[in-house]
Amino acid sequence: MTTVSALIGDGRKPARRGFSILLVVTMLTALGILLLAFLRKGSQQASWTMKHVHERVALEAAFAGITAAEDRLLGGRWYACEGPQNGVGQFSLLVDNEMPSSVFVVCQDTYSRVFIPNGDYPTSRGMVSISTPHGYFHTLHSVNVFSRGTCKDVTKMVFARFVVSPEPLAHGGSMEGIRFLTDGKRDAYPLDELVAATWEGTANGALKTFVCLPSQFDEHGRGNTEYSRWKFQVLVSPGDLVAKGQPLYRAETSWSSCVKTAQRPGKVLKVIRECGEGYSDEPVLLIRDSNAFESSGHTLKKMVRLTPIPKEMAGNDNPADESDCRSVVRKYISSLEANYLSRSNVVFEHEESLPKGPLADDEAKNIFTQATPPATALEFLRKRFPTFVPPGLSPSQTIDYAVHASVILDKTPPPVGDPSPDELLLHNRFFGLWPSDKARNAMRFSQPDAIRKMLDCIADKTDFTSLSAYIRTATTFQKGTYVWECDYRGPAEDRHEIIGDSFDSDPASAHPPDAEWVAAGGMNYLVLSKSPGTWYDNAYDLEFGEKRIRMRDVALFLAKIASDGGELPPDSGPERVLISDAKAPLPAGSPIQGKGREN
Amino acid sequence: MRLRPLHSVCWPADHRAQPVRSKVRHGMTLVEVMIYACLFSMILAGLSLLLSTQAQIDSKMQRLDALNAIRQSSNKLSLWLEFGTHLLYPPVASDTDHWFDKLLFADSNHEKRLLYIDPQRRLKMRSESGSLLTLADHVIEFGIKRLDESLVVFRIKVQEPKGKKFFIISNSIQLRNAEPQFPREIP
Repeated sequence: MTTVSALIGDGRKPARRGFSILLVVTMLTALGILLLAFLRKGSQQASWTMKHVHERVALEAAFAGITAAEDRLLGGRWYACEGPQNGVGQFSLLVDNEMPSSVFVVCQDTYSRVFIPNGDYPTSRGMVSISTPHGYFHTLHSVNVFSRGTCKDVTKMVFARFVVSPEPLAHGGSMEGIRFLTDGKRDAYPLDELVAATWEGTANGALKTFVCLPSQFDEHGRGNTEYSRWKFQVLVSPGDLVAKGQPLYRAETSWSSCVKTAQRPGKVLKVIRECGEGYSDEPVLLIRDSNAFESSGHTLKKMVRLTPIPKEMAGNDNPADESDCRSVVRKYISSLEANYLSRSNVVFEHEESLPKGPLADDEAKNIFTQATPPATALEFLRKRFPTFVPPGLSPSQTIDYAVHASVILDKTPPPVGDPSPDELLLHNRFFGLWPSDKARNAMRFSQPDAIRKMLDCIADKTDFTSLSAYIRTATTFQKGTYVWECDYRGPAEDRHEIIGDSFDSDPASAHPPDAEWVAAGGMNYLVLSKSPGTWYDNAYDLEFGEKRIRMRDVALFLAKIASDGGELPPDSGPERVLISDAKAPLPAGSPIQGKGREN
Repeated sequence: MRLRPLHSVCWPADHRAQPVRSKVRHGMTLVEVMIYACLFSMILAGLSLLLSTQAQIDSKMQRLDALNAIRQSSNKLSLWLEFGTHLLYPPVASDTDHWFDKLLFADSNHEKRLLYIDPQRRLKMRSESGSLLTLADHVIEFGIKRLDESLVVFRIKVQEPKGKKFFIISNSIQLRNAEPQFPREIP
């Protein structure tokens, strides 16, 4: 702008000394700064919000991975059947939601060792010769599950442990446990079930196996970064019996196609999706092996101890990597274990009331003055045991369990017909009169608190010195004073008369001063000899509905939640138990007896 | 517009000796004054607009901050609770309309944690080992209700720092590590 003074000059070019441009520039700058500040603040807010959304979605994806792993593991260990035998399986899933995310799951077996003497054993299938290359074989202790959820550039890892009791064989993919004999010795194994599980020298696969779309990973566990989207068509129907090599489904992508064939003979239990599109590793079929062995008992399985893994404790954040990730995570989990156990009494606490209204920090601190008494693994088990509820029950089944479950002490195989006098006497001495309508069971404790009643009954015989001793003695009735010989002395109502020396011709022999009388089945018996003894096959079973669980398996299941005791699979794979052909089949229907069950 | 130089304008003779320049130099034309007035009014209007916008932005930002904070606190609380193993307080609700103002639970590692509001209206979480975490400020209300052994519903009501508006966030969480308890009450 030209000023007035400049215009009045002598014709020279007017000087430009105004400040308007400066003012405008300043204004624009200020406006720009404000606008930028607003945008920056707004974008920061949006960025924070989105970051939290991504974190949440990644965590949900990790949870989804844990759920998917549990779903698969309930059916069997698919990786023990088809993948490399290193006890590690992995799969990926795309969570196709409003906010796309993915999850990468790695399952890693841990094993227990079972020592078994080599030799010939009689079983219901005949005499078999059993050997183990190194004097033991492996069973599955539990499965460590590492689930890493990813959303955008945010990852979250969750660790969990899938525990199973009784333990299945480690080789093969079965998740159905083999029941142990109940005298607590690991070298005494229920050979009949073991033989059934590994009959004809071949390890069975999973009892039930999910058949998935072609894997994202190769046989060495290396994966592609890109997910493949397959178009597929299932070629079998539920109920079909399939032979080895029979086509199960046809799948194709834009660049390849394949036909999936059955690895083993089996029966199609379920077609999850008949046709359509799906990603790699997505299950489409559920097949049960035709030669799979199903344990006579119920196997307890559950995913427990879900633990968030902080970023700094996840190693390189790739659970496929044993040395730089899984071992780091396991070390972190182990570091938590001592506190987890020692504070475990907290799950039995309840606060009846807390003060209402705001609390000052000191007042809040005083809430914790009543410290939880530290617990050991044994105490953890002792307290959890009576309140055990089987995993996997629906709400209605849980109520049914609470009302109808019972604990029974059963001889296996159960006696047929009337009980023997020994049984009558034993029962009468410890548990009262023999129930006439339950001749097959030596004892039955009903709800409510069936397990607690059982524990009370054998409290004086339970060994509390160690976890293993507790499990052994609290779940079996193996020690007691048994009446070995007795003499029938007439109906119970005549007892006073008998004791009153009016029955036998030889009062001295019939009624010694320290004579002990027992009544059983409405009859009186004079005890002639008795001694402390051990009674085999005397485990307590938990029975509800159609299911029957050995109490020892319940105790082991709870002990596994308390602490991890499994060992990592050796590079050579699991140790197997080798079973030769039958030598001399036992007669059909012959009861299982002999050293196989009693040693 | 181009102006002619003033000395070329015809003036009366007795006025030619006067130093005309000095008088005129200090003046402004009406047009210029109007332009200045316009400019200043525009600047003032712009400034006042900016200032009022800034105030509105600040207010909205604070509201956003409050909203973000309550969302974060809900997320953090959900994360702690999801991995929890046991609820110690409140008891299972018999009256579904009653909300408790404190939560005591055991985390994934069986460590007890207490949620409460302090006198400064901050929602805090104190652990048994002594660690203290502030989850939210300016909390008007923290309500918690336990529907069964392992399912809780909570709500947090937060007021914006310099305003009267408030926000409520509510969520229900299932404790994933809680072991089912033997049902004491058989229906």
